[in-house]
Amino acid sequence: MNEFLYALTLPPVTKGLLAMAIAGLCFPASGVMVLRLDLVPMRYMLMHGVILGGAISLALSLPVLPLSIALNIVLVLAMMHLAKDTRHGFGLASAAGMVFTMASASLVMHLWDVPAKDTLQLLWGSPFALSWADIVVLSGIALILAIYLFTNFRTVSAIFFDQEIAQSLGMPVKAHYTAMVLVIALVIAFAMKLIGALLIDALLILPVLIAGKRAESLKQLLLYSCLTGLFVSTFGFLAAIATDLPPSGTIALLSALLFIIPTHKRGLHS
Amino acid sequence: MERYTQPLSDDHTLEVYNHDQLIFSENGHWLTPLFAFERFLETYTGEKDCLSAHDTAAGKAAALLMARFGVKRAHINLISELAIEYYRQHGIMFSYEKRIGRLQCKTEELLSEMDDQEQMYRLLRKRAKLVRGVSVHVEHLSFSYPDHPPILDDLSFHLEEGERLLIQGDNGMGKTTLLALLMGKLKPTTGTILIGEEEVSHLEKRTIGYIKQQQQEQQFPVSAREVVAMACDSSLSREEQQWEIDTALRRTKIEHLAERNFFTLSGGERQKVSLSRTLCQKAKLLLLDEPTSFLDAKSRTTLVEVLQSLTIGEMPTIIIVTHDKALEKDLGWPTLLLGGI
Repeated sequence: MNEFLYALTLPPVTKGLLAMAIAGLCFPASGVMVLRLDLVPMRYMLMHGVILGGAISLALSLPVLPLSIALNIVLVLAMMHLAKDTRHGFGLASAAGMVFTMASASLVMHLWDVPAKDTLQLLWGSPFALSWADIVVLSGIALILAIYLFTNFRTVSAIFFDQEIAQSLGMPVKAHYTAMVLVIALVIAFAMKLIGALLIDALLILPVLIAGKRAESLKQLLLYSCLTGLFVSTFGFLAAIATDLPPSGTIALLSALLFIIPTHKRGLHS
Repeated sequence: MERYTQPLSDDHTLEVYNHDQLIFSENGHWLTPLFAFERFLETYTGEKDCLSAHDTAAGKAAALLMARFGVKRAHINLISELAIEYYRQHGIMFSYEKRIGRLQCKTEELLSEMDDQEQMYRLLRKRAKLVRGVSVHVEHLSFSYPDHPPILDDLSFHLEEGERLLIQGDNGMGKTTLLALLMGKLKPTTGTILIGEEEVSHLEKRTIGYIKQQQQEQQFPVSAREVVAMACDSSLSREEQQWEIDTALRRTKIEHLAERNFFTLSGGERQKVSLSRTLCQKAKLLLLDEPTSFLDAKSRTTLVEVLQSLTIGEMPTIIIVTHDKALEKDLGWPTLLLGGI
C-alpha cells in the first residue's frame, strides 16, 4: 500500500494520472463524433498518420506530438479534398490515406534507418513519458472539444441526427463537419501518445458504446460517455500502478469488460 | 342582469367572461378581437366552463369563431340573421340589441353559402392574414440527371399561402427529385421555382420544414425534445425557446414522449416528433417525403389527424409526395399526378 502511495507521488505517475483523467473525461466526446459521423475508417488513417509522424520525427529528431498533430491535420484536409472527387466518399478516401501513410512511414524508416521498434512504440503509448508541456497541450485540446460542443450543441445534435435535416434548417453542415474532423484529428494524435494506437478505442469508442446502452438523449450520451471514460482511465491507471501492469492494456481491458457486461438496452449501432 | 349583457366598458369591442368573471377584453375591429381571444386561450389556464361573450357586432363569422372557442352564451349589440341561425344550430344562447338581415361586409357574403366548418375557419384565417404558409410557384420545371432522360418535364403548379398539395406517382417518377429541387439541393435544368416570391437560393433560413422518409434501422440516443429543440430559433432567450419547444410538443400531444429516445419510438410517434420539429421551426413550407412509409394503421390515422389539424391551425403550405394512393382519400387534398399514373 505504501509503495502504491509512494508511486503516486512520483512526477511521471502524477502527470500520467492527471493526463488520463483529462483525456478520459473529454476524449469520449470525440468518440461520439467518430461513431455518429461514421468516421471509423478515418480514425484508422489518423492512427497510421501518427505512426508516419513518429517515423519522421525520429528520422529528423523532431518532437513527436506537434509533428503528429500537424501531419494529421494535413491528412484530414487532404482526405476531405479527395473525398469530393471520389464517388465512394470518405470511406475510400480514408482507406487510400491509410495505405499512403503506412507506405510513407515504411519508406521513411528505410531511408533514414529509423529502427522500426522505436516507431512502433507508438502502438503502445507512453503515459509515463509526458512533460508538463504535453499536459498543457492536452488541456488545450480538451478545452477546444468542450467549448466546441457546448457552444454548438444544437447544430451538432442536428448534424448527428440527420445531415440533410440540419441543412434544411440552414445550418452550416460542411463547416461543422470539417471542424469536428479536425478536432478528432487533434484528439487521436494525443491519445496515441497517451494510450497507443492499438488501444485507442478504449478511450474513444468503448466508453461511448457503454454509455449508449443506457442513454436516451445526446446529452446523456455525452455525459455518460465522459463519466465512463473518466472512470475507466483513472481507475484503470491506478489499477495498473497497483498491480505493476502496463496502463494502456489495463485501461483497455477494463473498458472491454464494462462493454461486455450485458444490459437490457440495445447498443448504439444498428 | 348577467354581467356579460351589461354595456361594454371603456372602448372595448369584445369582452369575455367565465360566469361573472371578466377574463378577456379587446378593443379592435372586425374579427381581430376574436382571433386575439383565440391566442389568449392558448396560454390561459384558468376556468373556462361557462364562457360568455359580449361583442359589438356579430355575423356568421363571429358566431363561427365563438362556437369554435367554446363560447356558450353571447350578447351582441348588432346581430345578423346568419349569426342567429348559426347560434341556434350550435346551441349557443344569445341575446341582442339590434337585429339586421346581413352585415354589409365581404366576409359575411363569402360565408353565406358555405357550410363546412373547417373550410370557413381556414377562409377566416386567410382573410385575417393568420396563415403561416408561403406561396409556391413552379413554372415549366424540367430536370434531368447527367446522361439520363428528363425525370421531370415541363411541370407547373401554383399554391397560395396555406394551401396543401399531394404529389403522387410511382417510384422513379421524380417525386423525391421534386422535393430536392424545392429545397434547393438540386438546380432545375430549365424552369423556375419561386417560394413566397423568392428564388429558393434566396430564402430565409428555416423557411422550409423537411420531414424525410423514415429509415427504420437507426440507433442513436437522441431524445424527442432534442429533435424538436434543434429547430428552435436560437436568437430567442432560453425561457422563450423552452416555451416554444413545450408548445410544439403539446401541439402534437407528445409531451409525455419528450425525454424518450427518438429512435425507440413507433413510426407514428416519430412522425409526430418530426411535425413538432417543423412547428418549433415555424416552417412556412412543409415538405413531407413518403410520410406514411413504415406506419401501421393506427399511426397512419394519427398522422392524418395531426396533418389535418395543422392545416386548420398554423396553416403552413404543405406538399406531400407519396405513392400511397389511399392518402388522397384520407386527406381530401388536391392531388398532382407525376408520370400519369
